[in-house]
Amino acid sequence: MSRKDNKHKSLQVADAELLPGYQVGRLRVVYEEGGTGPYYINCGQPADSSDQPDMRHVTTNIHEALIVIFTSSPEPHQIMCTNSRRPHSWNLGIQLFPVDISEFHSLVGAWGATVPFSAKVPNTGQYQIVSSLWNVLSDGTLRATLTELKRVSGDHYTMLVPSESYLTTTVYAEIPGPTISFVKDPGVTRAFHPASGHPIARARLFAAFALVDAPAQPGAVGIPPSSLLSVLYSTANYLITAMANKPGPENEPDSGESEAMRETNPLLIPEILIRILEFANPGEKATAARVCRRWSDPALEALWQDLPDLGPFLKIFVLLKDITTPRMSPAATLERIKSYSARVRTLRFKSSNSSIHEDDIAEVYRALCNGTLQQYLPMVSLPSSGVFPNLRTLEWTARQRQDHGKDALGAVSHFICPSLKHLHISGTFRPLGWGFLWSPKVDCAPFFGTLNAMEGLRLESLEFRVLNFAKEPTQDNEVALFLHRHQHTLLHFRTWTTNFVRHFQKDLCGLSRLRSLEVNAGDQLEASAFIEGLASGAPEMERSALPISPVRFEKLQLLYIQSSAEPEDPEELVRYFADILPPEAIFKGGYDSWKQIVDTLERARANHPETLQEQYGEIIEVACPRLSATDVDVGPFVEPCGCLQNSEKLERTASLWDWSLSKIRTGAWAGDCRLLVQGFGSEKKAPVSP
Amino acid sequence: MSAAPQVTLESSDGEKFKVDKEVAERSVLIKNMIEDVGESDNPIPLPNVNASVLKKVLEYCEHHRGDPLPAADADPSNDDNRKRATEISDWDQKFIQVDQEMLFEIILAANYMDIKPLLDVGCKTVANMIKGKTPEEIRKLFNIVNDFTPEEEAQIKKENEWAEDR
Repeated sequence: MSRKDNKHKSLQVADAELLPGYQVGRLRVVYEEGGTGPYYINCGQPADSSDQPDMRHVTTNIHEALIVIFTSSPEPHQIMCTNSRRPHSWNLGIQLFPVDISEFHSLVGAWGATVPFSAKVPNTGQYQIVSSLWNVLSDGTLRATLTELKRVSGDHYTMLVPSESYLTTTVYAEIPGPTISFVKDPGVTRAFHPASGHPIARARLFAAFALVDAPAQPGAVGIPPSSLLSVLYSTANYLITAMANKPGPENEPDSGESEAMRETNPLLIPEILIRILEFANPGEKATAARVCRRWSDPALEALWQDLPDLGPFLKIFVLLKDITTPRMSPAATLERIKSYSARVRTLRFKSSNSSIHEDDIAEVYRALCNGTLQQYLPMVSLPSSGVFPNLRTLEWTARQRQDHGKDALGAVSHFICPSLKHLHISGTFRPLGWGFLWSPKVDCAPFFGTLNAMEGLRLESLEFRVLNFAKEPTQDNEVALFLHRHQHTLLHFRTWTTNFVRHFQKDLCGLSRLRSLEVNAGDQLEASAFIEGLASGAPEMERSALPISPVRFEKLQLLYIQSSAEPEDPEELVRYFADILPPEAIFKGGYDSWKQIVDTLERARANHPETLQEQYGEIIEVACPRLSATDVDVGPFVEPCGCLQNSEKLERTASLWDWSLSKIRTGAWAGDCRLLVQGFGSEKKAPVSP
Repeated sequence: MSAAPQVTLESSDGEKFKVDKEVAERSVLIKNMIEDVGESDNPIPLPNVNASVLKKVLEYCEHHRGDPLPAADADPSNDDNRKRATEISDWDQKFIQVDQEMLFEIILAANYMDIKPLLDVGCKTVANMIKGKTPEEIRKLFNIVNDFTPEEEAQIKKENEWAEDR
């Protein structure tokens, strides 16, 4: 084992962890977390240039000073931080070090072992090394070592490398091939550097810096007062952006301007082309894909990322099977299909206006549903799930006359993959062979079973409105398990399937992080009963033993309940707004819910005119701030407001409801406002614009 | 009364521009740099932007100085709003009536300086130039060489025919 290897050990970096330095990259500190630390990275040229390390990569240009460059080397990358000092502030500098690890064993003074502080800090300590060295480890992390400053004697300080090492907390982005990679989290979308077009990898580093007072007298070396020694080395987090740079023989960092950096035609920079094509329609994107090779990929990316139908993808199979298409090898055929499938981020499939009904495509669709694609196109073996491996949003609407294979929801299952975040599924699902006049109830247990079996699936929103959903005893486990598994991830839940609402109301209570909950409770469950059910959704035992937390959904911003059931007591409904929902949540009733409130109030007005004002007052006070009105709702609601006979109350209603009076008078509410104003008689005529 | 704080920008060819900080900070790049460095008399170098382009870019920033800044962490769902607004305002329309070379320079500068609204004006303009054109017409317009074989081009056409009437 060489001497250098031993040195590695002395830095407590296992040999195996060290990354053989084959890449070239740049590190740029772009962001500093917390506190008052160094504001800017600056590298200065020590006046004493003898015994200098390679200074080629140092810049005093403010703009470039943030950049640290790795050079190609068989050794671990060594970067050291230096401090260049101004009165009352320390700027952290980053300096590239020669690759000889022995240089770093004792990180002292300027660039050598155990050099007295003052000797290597010319110009009264303008450039003082205080900080650490970094290692790029084999897994792509950057390891930083914190130095320690020790007072030796008089003006002389010695910095030693302590045993303690610091690891990066997060490092992102993979750049395969002969380029640098600092990549750990594939879930993060890769950004591209605006100028170079290079992928940006981000790393959060710990860097050490010193807080030292300015020298007492001009010309003196900055010696930290002993009281400051304890805080001498604080730790700062730096978000480091590493920009990959292609290696090459001339890969001197100074000439690191890559081709893309010098690219003068923005239309050949993929990021910009995609941005341009976002303003184009699908046809224009398809045209752009045929312009040249460099346009093709960004254009297809833009075209296919939001796919409005499944047909176009299945058409690729038809074309590849077509004898008039130039023959491709099985591997190339599969690649072709995968190149398209990988681009799809969103699939919005409506069976009613899909091209899957065209004969040739229908054949592929059936093969897909039945899992027999391989018989259709022998060389293609697609995974049984995750046909689009990068899918994030799946909207699937089944309409009449649609067969869905043996398992009614089976077709949808093929598109479930771990990257999926938003699943919206609606319509009538019917197994193969059923006529369209009558649909059997569908058992959703296998479908939820598929969701539950998908490792890593973390849905953020689920819309479930399977019209022929029937609650089967077998479903309990799978649906409940699904809701349980997603209680910390699901942010939006919407179902129009009333059976689902009734049967799994208890399980919905576990979705503690919901931001929005929208349900159709149908005619069997009126709104207040639904909310009450949510409030008391805890299991029976718990309900008797423990007090029920009044707020079940602390993050809820929107609760929408559609219910046509007659409420027993609208006041109760109103009270629930106050008791159950967090103060900032909005209740958005369907038309029926509004009608319930209004009808009840109307009846109350007829029967007990004396108590009406009180009731109405309460509704306005308690509910209005949380109610979201729509055009449909507002008319019937504001009309009875007339009974308040009080312009103050009117203004209060308006303000609570987040309308300004002027908006009511002149805006879209003018018609309703007339009703409102009528209620006031002649006491206060609001001008209503024509 | 003190004047509005100003900063100096230096173009790649060394010309210096003194502008109100508020104007310069339409550029997220400059905004971040000022935040990092703090107020300083030193000119901020923009090594990728020459004087004639920088002048033009600053003209845009001056006109739009009061506009609300786009949210730093743009919600992806807001992208839809951006896409929908494909029309260009009258002033921007006039501003961007430049030759192709300058248009490209402005796009590159807006991209580099991170001025999203200006980048979008440039991108929309290019998108409008592409509208209704065939691949060959686009190649001619932007001086691009066709490196597809006829078979390759035909295959891409067939595979994406579905998009044509959408």
